[in-house]
Amino acid sequence: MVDVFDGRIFEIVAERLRVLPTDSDTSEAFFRTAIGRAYYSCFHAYRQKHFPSRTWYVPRGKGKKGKYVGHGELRREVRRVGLGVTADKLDTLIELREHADYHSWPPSRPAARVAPPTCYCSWGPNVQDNCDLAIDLARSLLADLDKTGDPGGMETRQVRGEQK
Amino acid sequence: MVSNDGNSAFIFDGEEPGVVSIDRGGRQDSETISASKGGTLAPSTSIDHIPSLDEFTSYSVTQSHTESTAATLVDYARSLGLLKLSSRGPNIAPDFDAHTMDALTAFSSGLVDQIGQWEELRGVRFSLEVHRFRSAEEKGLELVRLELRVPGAPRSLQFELWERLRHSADIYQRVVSKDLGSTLRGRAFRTVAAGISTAVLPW
Repeated sequence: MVDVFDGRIFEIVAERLRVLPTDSDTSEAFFRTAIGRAYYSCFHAYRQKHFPSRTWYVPRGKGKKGKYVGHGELRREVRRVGLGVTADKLDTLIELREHADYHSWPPSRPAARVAPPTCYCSWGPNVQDNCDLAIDLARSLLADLDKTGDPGGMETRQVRGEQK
Repeated sequence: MVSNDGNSAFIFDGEEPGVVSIDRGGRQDSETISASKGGTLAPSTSIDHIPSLDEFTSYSVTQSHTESTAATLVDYARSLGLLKLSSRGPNIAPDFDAHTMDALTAFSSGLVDQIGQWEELRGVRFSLEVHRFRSAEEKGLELVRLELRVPGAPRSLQFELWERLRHSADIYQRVVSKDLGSTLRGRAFRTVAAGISTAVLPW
């Protein structure tokens, strides 16, 4: 049997990254990285739940369907199976993660007119607040998965020391 | 009505002179108001029943609520002119076509009126915003995001309001879709409505 990495453990990494910053010069990078780990903990867990036989892929052409799954397909599946607020939380985490990884500028409010580059991402003015929200969203999403019976949750809880 | 959960607090509307402003840690400029959560406001309307606009308008105000200390304090503050009932928005990002923009305006304007009647948000600053998110790394991953922003909302309340926002959006979406019918705005609305994603944010 293949020893498969449990991506849920990324959530623990996110929590540890959150408490690492000790100076203002690097803290934002830690918080942004933690947001990414928080998202990927859920991506892996939900992919395992909904597409257990498929691997990650960013679609770039035809002919790959049925073998790979991207971020968009996963979120559509979570919404399709009727998990309303769970799907919304995953969407929020997707947006936080993309802003953390790709957008170096602050988001604009819809009423504002600013020169590009700009975005309207769900990103607060304090980067640590964004990090805290991302981790809480990840915890909530993983807890939702536990309620529906996810075998991957056991290993993560053992790493946390919550269950022997 | 919740004001404290850990060290965060609601921010009451500060547009008028003399308004009470509560910051993180519960400090205030002029007067101390400590509030606790009031009655449960779990929606009871069945998703299978599509109410009329009149029914939906009266939905929130006909809920039975437990009178809370917080509500009493807010009422008292409002009677002193210290608070202003604040419904902000909707603010819609400009990157929608005209018909979709009109439809989203109709949808979110009605929704923001409903949200303004929620017990937890009485006298509290909030705004409703709509924007489109386009993924930078995955072509075709686009989301229409409906965001209720409640600055300083503690996490437990944020998630509780999120459930209510999702429920209300689902119901009101059907109302607006029915109301707009087969017009261009109606078709534009139905195109985006099915995939609307909600969020409640504490900033």
